[in-house]
Amino acid sequence: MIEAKHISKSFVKYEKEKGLIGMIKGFVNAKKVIKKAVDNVSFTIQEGEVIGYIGANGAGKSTTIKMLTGILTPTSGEILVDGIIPYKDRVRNARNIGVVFGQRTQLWWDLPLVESFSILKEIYQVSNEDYKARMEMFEDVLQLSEFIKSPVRTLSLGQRMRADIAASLLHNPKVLYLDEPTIGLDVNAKLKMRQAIKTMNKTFKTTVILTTHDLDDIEELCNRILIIDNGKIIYDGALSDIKTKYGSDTKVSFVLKEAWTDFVDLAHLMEVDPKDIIVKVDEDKLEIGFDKRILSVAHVAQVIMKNYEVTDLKIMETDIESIVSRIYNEGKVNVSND
Amino acid sequence: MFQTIKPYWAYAKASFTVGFAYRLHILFWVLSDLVQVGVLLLIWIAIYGNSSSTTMQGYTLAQMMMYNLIIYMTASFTYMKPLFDLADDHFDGKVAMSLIKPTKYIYEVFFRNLGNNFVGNIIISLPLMIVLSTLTVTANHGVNFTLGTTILYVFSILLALLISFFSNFIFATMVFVTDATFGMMQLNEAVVRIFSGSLIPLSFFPGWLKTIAYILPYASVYTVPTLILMNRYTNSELWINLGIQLAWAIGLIIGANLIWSVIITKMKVHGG
Repeated sequence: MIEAKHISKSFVKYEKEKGLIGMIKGFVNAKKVIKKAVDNVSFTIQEGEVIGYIGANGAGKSTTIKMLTGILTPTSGEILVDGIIPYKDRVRNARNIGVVFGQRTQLWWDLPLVESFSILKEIYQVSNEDYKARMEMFEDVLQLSEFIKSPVRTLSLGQRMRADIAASLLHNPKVLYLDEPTIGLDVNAKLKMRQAIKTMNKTFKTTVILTTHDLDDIEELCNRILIIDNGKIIYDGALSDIKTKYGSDTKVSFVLKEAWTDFVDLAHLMEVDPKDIIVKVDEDKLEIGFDKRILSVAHVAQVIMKNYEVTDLKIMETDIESIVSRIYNEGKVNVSND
Repeated sequence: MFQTIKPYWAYAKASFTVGFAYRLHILFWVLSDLVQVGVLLLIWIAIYGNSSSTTMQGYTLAQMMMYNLIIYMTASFTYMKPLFDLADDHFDGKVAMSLIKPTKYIYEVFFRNLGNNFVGNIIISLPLMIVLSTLTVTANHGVNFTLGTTILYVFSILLALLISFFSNFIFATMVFVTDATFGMMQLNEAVVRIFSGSLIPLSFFPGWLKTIAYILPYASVYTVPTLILMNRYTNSELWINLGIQLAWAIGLIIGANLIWSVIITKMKVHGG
């Protein structure tokens, strides 16, 4: 369905120096800096797959999505979406895709929501029967009728996102791109969003590409994930694989009664190899990171409490962000006293 | 043809609906323009009052006043300001939302502007046309609207609409390159005002300035339809000017498409 071959995208940036003089200098002669937002990325996505595309802010996720949708032209490389080169044949490609950018809306701000739908119906030339059937389906999953007559600018974020996802699905696209569709939503609204995505994927075999910072989104929806960092794909595979490999990372943080000053070898106390634990200290705060398969939370807590007076303790399970940074830092994982 | 245009009418409908909802904006804009036209009329009265002859460059005072009103009407019939759209779409990255639609951006913006244009036509141009027509029938202003000139005027206005949009669109694409909206708007306004004939008739210009005015497309937007309605062209002048309008329209459509196709491959999309 989607094929990306060695795509790169660089932007030219002009760096300006600080201050008034720097500003004037920059006006005449700004320093040109080339930034590679996406760097030699390749992947293939089959019809009906739901892909989680993750990475930190500025990693290149949105730039990739913009290239796949035909908004941006890659500096080099090739993209095929359902046999169409999106940036060369943008209009034809646009009929096959639906896009939601969580930070923006494709609805008409000043018009009642229902007007936006009827405008989109005309733009995509959706027939009356299809329009009716889909609006009924959206009603089931997204409950739009409670605010369909209100101007879009008066909707809450959750309502607007529900409306936006309905708008992107009105023409029953083959591929759905969702760029942070659950950003800023409360739990209830998130559930509804996920339900809608699932329903569309099941009923119409819609291929879905989803970028998010929310691990629950990924876990609920995706069978495969792509991780991008600094413009490069650093992981492409099943979510279950990555979870067995990295998901056992755990952190326990202690608040001690007195600042930690004796710098004893904690690895030795816990009877593990020094490279198996990460220790971070900030005066009276002590944080220990480890792999649950090597050490148990109980053992770590026991060792620390036996040697120090602990006033508070918190256990943190792995989130997707730390998996990403762990993968990125692979090899550099070690004991550090900083 | 009808099938390919159909999706675009939705954009016109949308901006018409929005524009009409905000018709107070347009009303104030009309009022400010009317004040300007009023000032121009007063200036002409003063100039003619201090002149020894009753005509200047072939215009009596009454004809000059008609000229100003008609060119004002022509300006609002051909009102197309894609610069607002492009600046708006560019700066907060809204252009991305246009580029995911199965429609061409240039024509989307064209139809968006057409929707606004219709609002202006209903509020200003058409009422003004009725008033002016009544004036020419009831009072002797040395200007007579005939059926022939009115039909030619409408035809000329349609071409002027295309020239107005696509020339301004080309100008507006510079926003994507320079990031300087306000300056571009001011420059655009100033150039159009001087070289379109909306400040003073181009026949008042010295030769070299007139040459510049006729090299630029703006005379084709404002002066040509106005002079057609005022029946000031000889037959051959009429067809030559309509031919020039047609050439401008076709050339600018091709040019705008070419320039946009280059810009779109180099574009940066702001935000998230």
